[in-house]
Amino acid sequence: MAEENTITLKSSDGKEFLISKKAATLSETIKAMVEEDNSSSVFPLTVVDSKTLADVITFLNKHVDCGDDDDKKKSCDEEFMAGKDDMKDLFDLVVAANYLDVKDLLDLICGKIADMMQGKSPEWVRKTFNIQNDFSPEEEAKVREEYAWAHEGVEED
Amino acid sequence: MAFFQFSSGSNTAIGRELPEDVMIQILVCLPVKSILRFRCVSKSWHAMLKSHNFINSHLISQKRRDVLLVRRCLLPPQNDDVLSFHDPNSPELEEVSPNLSIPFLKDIKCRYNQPYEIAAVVLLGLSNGLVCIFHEEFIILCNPALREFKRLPPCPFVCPQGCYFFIIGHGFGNTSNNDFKVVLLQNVDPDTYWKPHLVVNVYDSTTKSWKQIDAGDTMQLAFGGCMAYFEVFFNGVCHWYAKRNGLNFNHAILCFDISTEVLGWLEYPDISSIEHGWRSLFVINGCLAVAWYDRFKEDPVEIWVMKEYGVKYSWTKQFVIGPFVDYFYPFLAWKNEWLLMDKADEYKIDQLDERAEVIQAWYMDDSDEDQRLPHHKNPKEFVSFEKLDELGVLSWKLDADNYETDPELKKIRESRGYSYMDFCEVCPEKLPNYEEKIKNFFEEHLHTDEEIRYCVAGSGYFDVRDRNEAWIRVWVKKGAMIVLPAGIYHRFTLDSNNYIKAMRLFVGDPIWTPFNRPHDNLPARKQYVETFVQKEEGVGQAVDAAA
Repeated sequence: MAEENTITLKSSDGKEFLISKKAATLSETIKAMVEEDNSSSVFPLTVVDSKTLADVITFLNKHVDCGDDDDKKKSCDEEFMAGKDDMKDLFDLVVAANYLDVKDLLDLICGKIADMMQGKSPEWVRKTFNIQNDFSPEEEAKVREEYAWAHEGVEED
Repeated sequence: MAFFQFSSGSNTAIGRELPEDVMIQILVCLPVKSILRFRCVSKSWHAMLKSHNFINSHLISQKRRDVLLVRRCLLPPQNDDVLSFHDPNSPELEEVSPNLSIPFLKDIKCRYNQPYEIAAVVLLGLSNGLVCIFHEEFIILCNPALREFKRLPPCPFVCPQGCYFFIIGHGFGNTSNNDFKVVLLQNVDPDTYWKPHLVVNVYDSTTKSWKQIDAGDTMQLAFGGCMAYFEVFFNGVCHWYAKRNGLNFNHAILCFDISTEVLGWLEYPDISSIEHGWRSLFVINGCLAVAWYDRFKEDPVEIWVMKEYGVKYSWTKQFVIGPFVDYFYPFLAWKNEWLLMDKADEYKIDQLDERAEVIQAWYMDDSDEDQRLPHHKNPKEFVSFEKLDELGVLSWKLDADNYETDPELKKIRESRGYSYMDFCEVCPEKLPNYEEKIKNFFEEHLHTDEEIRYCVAGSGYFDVRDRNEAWIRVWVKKGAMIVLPAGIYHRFTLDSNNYIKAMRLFVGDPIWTPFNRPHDNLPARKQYVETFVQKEEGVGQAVDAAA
């Protein structure tokens, strides 16, 4: 009986994770997979590594436990996010949340990344998100000038 | 089974691109200041962050966090007219920097070499994050997030020959597409003066132009309508306090739907003595509300709420606040339980309290006139529920028509252990030696237990001593339940209506013995002084020591 209510998720590096169907289907992507393929019990996720998948599963299990209690969810989310301030981990998580289509997790991580970049300089943003600055120095100066006050009080990189 | 693949999924270090939709979702969480700064990250970011789509998504995401309130104040030393923004989620409604000085007003000041009348400027908004500023010479749009001000083209329509016209109302609101419209209501009077036409001038942000709609003569705006308090944008509709032409001038609320540009009206609540007093329109608890007050009579302010939009019979008197010695215009509800009141160039916050309808308290004068008179000080000095609370005086407003079945009363009795209950009627017909008895009630005394009275009919005054021995008169009317703590010096009298029917409650077997003053050595008195009088003195001393 228990097996019918659980499925196995397989990470890109081949590790397997057992998870309840109820928790797993909080992910719209997994939900679609399960509905499409009722006979399988192992679902490979080729773009999510084991470290990230373990985190995602922690999140899903917590949210299933919370049910519809928003206050409980909020404190769960705070607990989940505690200590998560490594940009690389956050990027992995946000990409996974986007791929797995877990809205609550996506919102949470996007908010966290926004919090971290809020006071940063444009140079920091370019470096972090790998963006080429294609403005000429004159063009950039002009754009900066337009809202000069927005460039006041920027954190050191 | 197909799997979606990311081009960037294999990157491991930071310094990697995120899928564009994820990136956008992160950026909409940022405050405006960061977004403006990040416009210089790259050309594609610049274009994306400036795009209509992004701005709309950002607006929606920020709205979820709640917009800021706006109010105007004169900032010393130059008395610059600044917009002050407040954070509705902060505990004390804190002001958020920066204060924005309205630029074009400075020009007027220079021209006339004197400060302009602050009331000549009407502010509406925030609507969709924008504030609209009206002055007879111009209309300015302010985007506080961008700290930008923009003058709108002036209304081009001229008054027909032989007519007078007045601007009698302003409106500002947004459509569901986030476009905005500005409305100027004009009364156009032909020479006759008796049949003024209402004309609606509308500026549309999509066409960037003005148009004019003739509304005919069925509707008239009340005189003095040119104040923000008489105008509110709610439910996609601008509302003004107005009068309908007919046999009588019926009070009504004029409506203009911003999207459909259709005029209409809503019925006004049945407020007694409606001919007098002032009316403010605002929104509370997601409902349209009217505050009615007579600033000359120092009556309490009544707040009526239209529980179901558009349904006349859903108007309900929900709150009564005040009365206020100084008059204020109520204009904004905050967190659904506080009301912001405007007074010339400052504002004050007052708590909406249903009890004010049946309980009022004030400091007494020293005159020896009939004890049944109100004995207000001159000027009147009212006492808040908070202050009564500090003295240990508790109160509730209950449904006096249904005290037998009132679940609220049952709850109070259960939680406070009020097992005993009887009724006491005081009036000349029912009480032998009435005049003498009420003199006795009026002798200052205390009890060794709580005095719990629930006024189910009539009214009366409970006088209690404050910490400095001054008398506070607490007027209780039908529906008021009051608890005087054990050991508080107090007295009771009827008012000039000479009638009260009160429910008396008690924990266990009742003891009604009064101990006339002085009885300072009773344990109950000592306990009261310790809990409610000395506590505050202790705090005062600590503050003094710190200073």
